[in-house]
Amino acid sequence: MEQQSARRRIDPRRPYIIAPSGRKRIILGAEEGMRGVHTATHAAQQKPLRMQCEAQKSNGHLLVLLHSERGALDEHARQAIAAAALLADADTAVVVAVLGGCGEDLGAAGADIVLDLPAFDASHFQPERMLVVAQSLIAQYQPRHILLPDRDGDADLGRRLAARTKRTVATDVVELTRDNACRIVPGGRYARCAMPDIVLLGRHAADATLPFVGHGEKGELQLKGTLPEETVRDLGLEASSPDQIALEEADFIVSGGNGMHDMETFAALADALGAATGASRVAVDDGRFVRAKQIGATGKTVQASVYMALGISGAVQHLQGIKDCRHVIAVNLDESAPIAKRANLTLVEDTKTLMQALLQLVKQARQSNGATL
Amino acid sequence: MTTSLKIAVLVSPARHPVSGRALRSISDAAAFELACRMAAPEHLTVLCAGTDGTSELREYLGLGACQIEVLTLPSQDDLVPALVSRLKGFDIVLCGARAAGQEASGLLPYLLADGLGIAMVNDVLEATAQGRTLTVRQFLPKGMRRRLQVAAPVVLAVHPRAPQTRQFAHARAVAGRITHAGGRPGTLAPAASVWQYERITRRPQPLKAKVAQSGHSRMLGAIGGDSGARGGAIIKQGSADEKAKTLLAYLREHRLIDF
Repeated sequence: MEQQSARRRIDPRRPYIIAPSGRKRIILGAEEGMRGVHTATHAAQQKPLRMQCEAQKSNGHLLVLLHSERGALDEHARQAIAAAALLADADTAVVVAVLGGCGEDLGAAGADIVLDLPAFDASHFQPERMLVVAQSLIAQYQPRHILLPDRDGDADLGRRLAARTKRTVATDVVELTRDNACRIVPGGRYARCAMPDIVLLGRHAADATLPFVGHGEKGELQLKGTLPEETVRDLGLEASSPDQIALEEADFIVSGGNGMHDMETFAALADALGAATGASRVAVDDGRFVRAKQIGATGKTVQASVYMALGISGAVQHLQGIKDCRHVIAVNLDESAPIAKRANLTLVEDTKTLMQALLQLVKQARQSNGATL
Repeated sequence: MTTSLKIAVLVSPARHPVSGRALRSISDAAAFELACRMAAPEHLTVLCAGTDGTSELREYLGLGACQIEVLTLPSQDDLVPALVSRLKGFDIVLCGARAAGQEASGLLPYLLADGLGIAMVNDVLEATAQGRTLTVRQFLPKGMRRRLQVAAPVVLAVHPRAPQTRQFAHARAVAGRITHAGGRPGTLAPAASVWQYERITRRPQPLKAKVAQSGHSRMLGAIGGDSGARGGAIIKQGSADEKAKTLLAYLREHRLIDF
């Protein structure tokens, strides 16, 4: 028997359909559809393509020249690609030439045409050859502007290119629009100029997160002429011992905190890995490390490729000091410590036993490597 | 130690970024010191172009320069051509990687090398000459250094981290001479941007994508979506040895160690 009530009642399990977006949709008054529990999860958003047309049919190009490091791009390089993608019109393709080669798909970073040039990495001094490559790229794509990150080998290449080809250039650009570029000059002044041919971008001049993606197609370099002989002879690289260079310059840092008390194994491990040593504030205050080793807001800000945090919980001040590190590996007994959110790999283990195990492995690996050589 | 090569050092006045006080530029002082290691100070030609800062240049005299020649120029645009015509015939031209006073763009050594048509080495830490061949130690990031061999003539841009041990002496600063000479404007005119200057009153704004987001996508961004899993892998299971192996495998996978 059905009772009529004055208030209209709503069926809590009204039928629904799954909309094309993958989300649940209830159509009022509909009688058909699913009634079970919908357990769909949010899918990662598909970003749209920036260019309307194909990359090959573009009407003009922007060229980004950059060096990769160990086959990967750092944040500064990504910012340069993103800046080019943001400056480009809908029918302008972003051409990215990666000197040193890069394994990953750069379409997600905003590149439309990617040229992998593994033979031109920064480990050899070859400015004349790089200039030939850059000039070939310019002849091939006729770019409206050339963007480079203003650091290390790219800063050198950009300045050489500007001097050789007599193009207008702006270095350490901190602010960029479609029409002009702006840099800071001594004396607390901005210097602004119309968008030059070559733009050397400072750090954080652009945001690397993009709401769109590029095509990411492979391009082929058409070399103009032959590669010249270098007049400067390269006698090879030499690595400095980690205790001779500044902590800010170190590439591999092993760092100890409050959960790490075995200083002997720590020193042996750092030595075996060829790493510089750092510490958190607590370990420095304890007297286990000198003040110069402190990493964090009141200490040093480091830019290592690998930062191994042993027994460091990861206070905000410490995380500030390691924000530019690429790979963070944490060893901590507490898996919910803040460092686990920052770390690329977290090992829940006592630091002493792990250091001993790792030291054994590293020594074995070094020995077997020495035997094969 | 001493060499018969003709060496020129370019120095420039600098200003303290906050107080505006007259200073010597760190990398220019490093360039002067490197030149002093190759030849006695009285055999060096120390040049400054385009600016008339006597009190700033006294800093370099105090470091041991006997005489500084200032090339006076009608405008800053003539700086590179005037220097190129003055520096013809020199074997080694040393300068700081970047000035701290004028434009500080770090372009001058490149433009000079191009104008003179000679080789250029950037970020130099040390240089020793044997005959006309120089062995140069170059600064690279991440604690790496590189050795290069280059024949004179060459332009060396000296890195600010090059060793500096010379002390400022007031007596030398007073005894040294500053001479003025009219710079000869050349015909070589490099393409240059036209700059407009304004005082810094706000932070620079980075280039950012404008996003008109729907409510749903904004919520996805706030919770990080399903793809943006925060933090990396957390390894809890296994013995310490297995975890150490995982760590080593991670380092090898990302080419961070070479054994």
